[in-house]
Amino acid sequence: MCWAIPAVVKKIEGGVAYIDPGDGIERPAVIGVDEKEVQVGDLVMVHAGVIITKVDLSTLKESMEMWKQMAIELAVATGEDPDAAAKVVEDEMRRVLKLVEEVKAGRSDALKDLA
Amino acid sequence: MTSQCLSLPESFPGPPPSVDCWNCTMMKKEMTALEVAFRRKTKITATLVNYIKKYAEKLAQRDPHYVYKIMDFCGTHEWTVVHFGLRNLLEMAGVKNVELVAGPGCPVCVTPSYYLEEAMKLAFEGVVIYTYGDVFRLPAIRKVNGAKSLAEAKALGADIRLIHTFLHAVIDAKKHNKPSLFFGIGFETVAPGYSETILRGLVPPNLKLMSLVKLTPPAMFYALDMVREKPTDYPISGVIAPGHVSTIIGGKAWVPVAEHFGIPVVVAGFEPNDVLTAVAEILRQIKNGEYKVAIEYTRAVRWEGDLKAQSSINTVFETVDSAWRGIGYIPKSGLALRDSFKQFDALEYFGISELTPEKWQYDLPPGCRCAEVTLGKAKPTNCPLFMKACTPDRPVGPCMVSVEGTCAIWARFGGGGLATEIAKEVGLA
Repeated sequence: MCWAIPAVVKKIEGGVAYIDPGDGIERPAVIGVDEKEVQVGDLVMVHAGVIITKVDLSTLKESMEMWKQMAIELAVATGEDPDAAAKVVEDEMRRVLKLVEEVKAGRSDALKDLA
Repeated sequence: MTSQCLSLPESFPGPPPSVDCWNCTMMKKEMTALEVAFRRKTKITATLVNYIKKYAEKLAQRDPHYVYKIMDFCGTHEWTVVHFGLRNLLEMAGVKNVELVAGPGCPVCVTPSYYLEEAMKLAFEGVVIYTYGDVFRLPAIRKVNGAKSLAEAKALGADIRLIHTFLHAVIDAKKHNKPSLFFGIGFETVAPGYSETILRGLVPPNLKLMSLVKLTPPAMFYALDMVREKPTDYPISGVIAPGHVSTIIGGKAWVPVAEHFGIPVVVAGFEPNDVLTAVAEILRQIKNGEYKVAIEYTRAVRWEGDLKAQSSINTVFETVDSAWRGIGYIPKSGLALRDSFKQFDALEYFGISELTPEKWQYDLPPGCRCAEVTLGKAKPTNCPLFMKACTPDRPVGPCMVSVEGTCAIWARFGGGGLATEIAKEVGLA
């Protein structure tokens, strides 16, 4: 029971949030988490009409670091160039982080490329 | 008890005319988005697959015959695994000693037939029944007035309304004011939706909740015990814990599982790379003799979860022993409305007696192996009914219905699917 969709919070009225999953149509959702933490413009995950978490995009950098470390460890073990391996991960993640910036800047349709 | 009494705006949309989860545009969009996002990162996939391969080889040096079974708890993780062909991907990479096993993470599959039958009885008595789309065709074990599912009850004239969210039912029930029941299945993810809507005073007096909410860590315990029951089988060596359930309950909720069974647990997201990262982390921990809870899905999950949601759930619900379809009672594995919220309780209001361990009867059709599939003891293809008597168009067992049912996922996306294509992209084929 984990199907959830990413969406941007467009407005909050009467304790109900209105979210846009990237198609420009606002839909009502119950704020299942701490209301103080959810603000207009936030990227959230919505499950069966319930906001279950705010997505912390800054942690994407953590994921990138983790994958980078894995790539480096692997390269060292197989005698390949660890810097080149790290760069492959960095290049891929740079594209994702660029999309993140676009979402933050208000382009909710960039969500469809971000998942 | 009600913290704030709020009303919903007039323009609030009511329930959609129909809900078909398999053809839901929102879900399809999410599926496509996941795929697009994944295809952008296949170089990372290649790194992850190589990493898994390296650790699998190191583990094989210890015992070449041992199979490391990793359970993906969640139906959505199983979807990722099957849709993207991750099992095939690992096989093509030459990883022979790691097996991904589907777990009990499908609430539709484990809801006892008894409650479905009681809801159908009420439907024929004129009660409006609200439910999620993937419950609609769920087959009961006994027919009620000739109907075996809510879909059939609707065809026979009962008022069954499909909704995406509890809020839809709330607003719709307010409009018609007829006695109504919400068939409230789900895991911890939906629970704050029910509790917050109740606490905010939004639920009209004519709408009652049948709480069928199940809790995931107790089920995990049970599934792991069952898999270990047979000494000939390899036990589960690691668990991929549900990402979105964990946004509510937190990574901390999985510590007892990791410590009791001495196996790594990784809370993962739903992109293929998330699942592969979890597998890599589990193998790394096994190789190093560790058994910790790690959160891979850091963009959404925190160690402590959401305390506000936990407190809201705990205010409205209490933890009770609960029946799982085809399996029986699992201690402390369900949520029931507390006495102080009984005015919202469908069981209380409509006089439905609670199922008890004495009353519970095995509730799967003959031949159906859904319970074993749910517990990771059998694969859908081990079931004699799979894709013969039981198909997505004519489901016999509950695992063939929901978008999160293992059999339904295998039936729709099994057989490799994208695997070959993706294997080419990551340089394996």
